[in-house]
Amino acid sequence: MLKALARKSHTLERFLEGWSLFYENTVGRIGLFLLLFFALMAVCSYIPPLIDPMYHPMTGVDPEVFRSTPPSPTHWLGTDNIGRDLLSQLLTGARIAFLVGITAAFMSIVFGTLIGMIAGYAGKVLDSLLMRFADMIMVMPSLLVVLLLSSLFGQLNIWIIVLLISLFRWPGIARVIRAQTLSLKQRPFIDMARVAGASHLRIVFRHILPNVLPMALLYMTFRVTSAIIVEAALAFLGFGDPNTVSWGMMLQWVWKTGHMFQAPYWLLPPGICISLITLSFYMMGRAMEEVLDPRLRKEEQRI
Amino acid sequence: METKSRPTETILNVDQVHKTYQDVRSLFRKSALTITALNRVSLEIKRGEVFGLVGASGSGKTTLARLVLKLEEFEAGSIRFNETEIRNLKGKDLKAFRRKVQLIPQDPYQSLNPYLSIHDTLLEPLSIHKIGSRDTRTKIISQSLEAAGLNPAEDFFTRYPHQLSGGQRQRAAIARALVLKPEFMIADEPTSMLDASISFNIFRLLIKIQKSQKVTFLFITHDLAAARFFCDRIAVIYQGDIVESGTTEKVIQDPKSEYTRALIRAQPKFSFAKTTRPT
Repeated sequence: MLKALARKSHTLERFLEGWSLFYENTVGRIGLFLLLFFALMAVCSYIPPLIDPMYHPMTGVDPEVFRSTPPSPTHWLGTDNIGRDLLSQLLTGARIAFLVGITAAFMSIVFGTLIGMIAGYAGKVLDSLLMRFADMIMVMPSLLVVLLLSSLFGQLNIWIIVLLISLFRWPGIARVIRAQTLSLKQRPFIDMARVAGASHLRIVFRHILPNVLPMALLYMTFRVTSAIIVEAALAFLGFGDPNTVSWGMMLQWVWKTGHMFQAPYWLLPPGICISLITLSFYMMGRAMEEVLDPRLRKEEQRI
Repeated sequence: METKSRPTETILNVDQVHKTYQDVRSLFRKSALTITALNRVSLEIKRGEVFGLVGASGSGKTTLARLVLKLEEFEAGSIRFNETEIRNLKGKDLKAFRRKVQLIPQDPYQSLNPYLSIHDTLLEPLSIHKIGSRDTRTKIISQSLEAAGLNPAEDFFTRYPHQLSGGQRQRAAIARALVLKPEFMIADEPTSMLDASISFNIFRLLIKIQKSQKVTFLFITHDLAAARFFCDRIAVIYQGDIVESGTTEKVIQDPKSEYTRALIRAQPKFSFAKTTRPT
């Protein structure tokens, strides 16, 4: 009876074990707390407009302010040149960063891992075709192409930017995953799976996927950072979605209104936030890798 | 060895099998180098016996095992298992064949997926072949682990390969081969990565399994002494050619080929008379 219960909660047990390993990792813990802080910011972004429409990041304007003001009791981080609250903009920026970073990275990981595994496992013609295609996309200057597209079609919606980032960022992952798959394919346990009668689909998803997943997750954290940076760059250059406030957009406003060197309270917070959020994703990735790869673990005491 | 009953029915028939590997380096010169791994090899294994394939590294013995397991294709000849040609097996027939033939691998450190627990590793063949219900599967897994000498089986369910010693891993690999209750097992140098005392235990285990489950064994080794200990009949393979075959005692007592004689001479012997080291 007890045994059956233990088996049922096996998944839960595994999760808790993984969690404790993650939490023991200092780098992972710092990354997690940083990320939680940003998540809290993203959640809090819904609050300021509820207090007073004046705090709406896009449309709210403080009627008493006529130029950019430094931090004050009414505006904790100050205002921009037309009197919009910087704190509420910063909070909304966190929301956009999560949205862009995680969705773009997740999509590019799914594309990259699938294509990499298929190319590596199938080999021969399919491998060559997929990898040459990946090379073609990889050598395209993605920022330039996105800039061209947005100048062709006018301002791009934030979701289209996300899709474009992920479509341009999968080849790097696909190459890494393919290389791993090639070496995994030669390992005896794949032969053993074939001897047991496993289908190609089973071998790819049950034996190769878990072995490449830590690498994919590590690259996902890199892709989160690069997606946030690409979005920030686009926004800074004036090609962001004009209906959203992102940190890149805030930087662009600082620049365009000529406050670059006059208003450090306006310039620094979005810059620091971009750096810290990318760092926190990277730290999380490193710690996650350790949890997911049993070989990196320390042998635990068994009773 | 003489006390064993003579089996008659042929389980595996390898007939004139030819396998070459080509080294295709250049785009314009197609085959710069062709290596003949197996040169028209023929052998016959009877149901219930232990057949030894003895040879040096690179002699083609592992290649033959891979061909019999249908992990690789071959150019000419035929391999028949239970009178069925395996070359063109596909789909359902291939799956049925896979259920009957299992491998005990050479390298216990590489042959278990590091991400699967021992329970999940042993469960996989059962779920592929849709054998039994949840409870019977658990029972089969426990039985196999215990038959392979991992007692008590439940202790090993949640362990991962990196938490086992080399000998335990090899036992887990043997247990995996056992869950399907195969008719035919290929042991490809099962002890080459283990130290001598553990090797001996593994040999004893294999003999026990062979006796209790009536499995036919193809035992691949470079060690003539191990082959003598374990096999009813042996074949000696040298650079892709079978140079000699027959009952174990006959081959060892009365070797026909020069290579077999060299192998026998190369066996280390304990000599208690020798007390000083020659300088």
